[in-house]
This record gives sequence, C-alpha cells and structure tokens, in this order.
Amino acid sequence: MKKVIEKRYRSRINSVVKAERLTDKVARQCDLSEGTRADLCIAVTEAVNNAILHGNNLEADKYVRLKFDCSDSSIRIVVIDEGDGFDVEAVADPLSPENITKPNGRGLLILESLMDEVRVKPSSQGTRVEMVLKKR
Amino acid sequence: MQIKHATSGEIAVLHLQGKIMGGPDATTLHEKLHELIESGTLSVVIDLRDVDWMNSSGLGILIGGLSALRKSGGDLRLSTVTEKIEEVLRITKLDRVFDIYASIEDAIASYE
Repeated sequence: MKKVIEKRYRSRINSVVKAERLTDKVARQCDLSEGTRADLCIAVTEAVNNAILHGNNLEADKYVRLKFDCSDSSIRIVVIDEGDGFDVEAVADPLSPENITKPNGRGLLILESLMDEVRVKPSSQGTRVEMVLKKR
Repeated sequence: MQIKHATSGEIAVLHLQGKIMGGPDATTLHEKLHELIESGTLSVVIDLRDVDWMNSSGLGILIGGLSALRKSGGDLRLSTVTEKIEEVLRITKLDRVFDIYASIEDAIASYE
C-alpha cells in the first residue's frame, strides 16, 4: 500500500493546529500505535512551527508545504518553507549548561530523537526538512 | 489544550488537558503563568496527567515560566507526567531542571 497526502498552509500561528489534525488522521490511517502516533505528531508540529515562525517569519504571503508518503513499512514526511534558509551548524547545543534553561532551540534535537531519519536542507529558496518514521 | 486553575493555600495548581504544541494554546498558558506571577502567586504546580504530549513549544513555555518564577523567588513544579512527556523531558535533559512529583499531593507538600 502506498499513499501520498499533501497540504499547504498559510504562515499563521494556528496552522500548526490544522497540521496536527491532519497528522493524527494520517497516523490512524497508517495504523500507527498510540506511542508512535504521538512521536509523529510531535515531530510534525515541531517542523511546521519552525517553518512558520523561523522559516517564513509569519509572513502572510508565504506558505508551508507538508507531505506524507506512507508505505507498508514507513512514513516519509517532508516540510518545506519559503524562507531564506539557515545555517544548521550554527544551531546552538540545547543540552549545554548555558542553553539548558533557554526557552527555545530544542526542536531539532527532539526531531532527531523521535524519528528514524532526519535530513535538513536549507537553501535561499527555503528549508526542506525530510523525516522518516519506521512502523513498529 | 484546556487549563483548570485551582488553589491549595498559596499554591496555584494548573491542571492541563490535551496537547501542547504551540499555536494559540501556547500563548494562553504563557499568559496564565505570567498572570500568576503578577498577582504574587509564586508557588505553582502543573499537573500533566491529562496531557497526551508536548513539543518544544510547550517545553519552552514551561521553562520560561520556571525561570520567571525562580527569578521572583518562587518555583514551578510538575506532577504526574505521562510517559511521552517524560521521554521528551529526558531527551532534552529538562528532567534534571524541573522538580517532578508522582502526584499533585506530593508536589503541593514539597512547598511546605
């Protein structure tokens, strides 16, 4: 079974809620367990929040694309914004003592911990975050 | 996400329900915590038993609230965290920053 679902969201603060609803629906259609469904929802909302707030800077004319590619063994998720990209190497370590109590900067760490594969490809046309979650 | 506010003496107990993922709900929680600080309520317990999961936006609000309360001489303590939230706290090492209790009663008693 192979299924592709794609959606585009405006860069609004409440778009993350819409993206979460779609993610939960996709996770149920793909028969993910409750724990894995939560992992998927956490990861997608992380990536969509980053795309809306940091990628597109909440600019109304910019969109975030969210794509799910479901197969029998895994779900591939792609989130693309229309921002200017960023330097992945310059992201501060959220686990270092000087950053541990900062209110932000943990998104990528959480993605990498919960997903089986994460690839972040920034460019001047936007950032593409690709994640793979294997079914278990 | 829903927030129910109760008090036990001078301690505020916030019972959260749902998912904490950023967006409008996150603003509501942020405002609630700052409302408590402004009113002089500096001992806060957040009961997470009915929170399915939270992402880094939710963690950011909790850590922001913790920092603001500790700066004012107060504290924010967590109770009854679910397995998924425990995992996220462990990943981010925030389980070493927050005081976490098995029940609301234990969290309230910790202020005595």
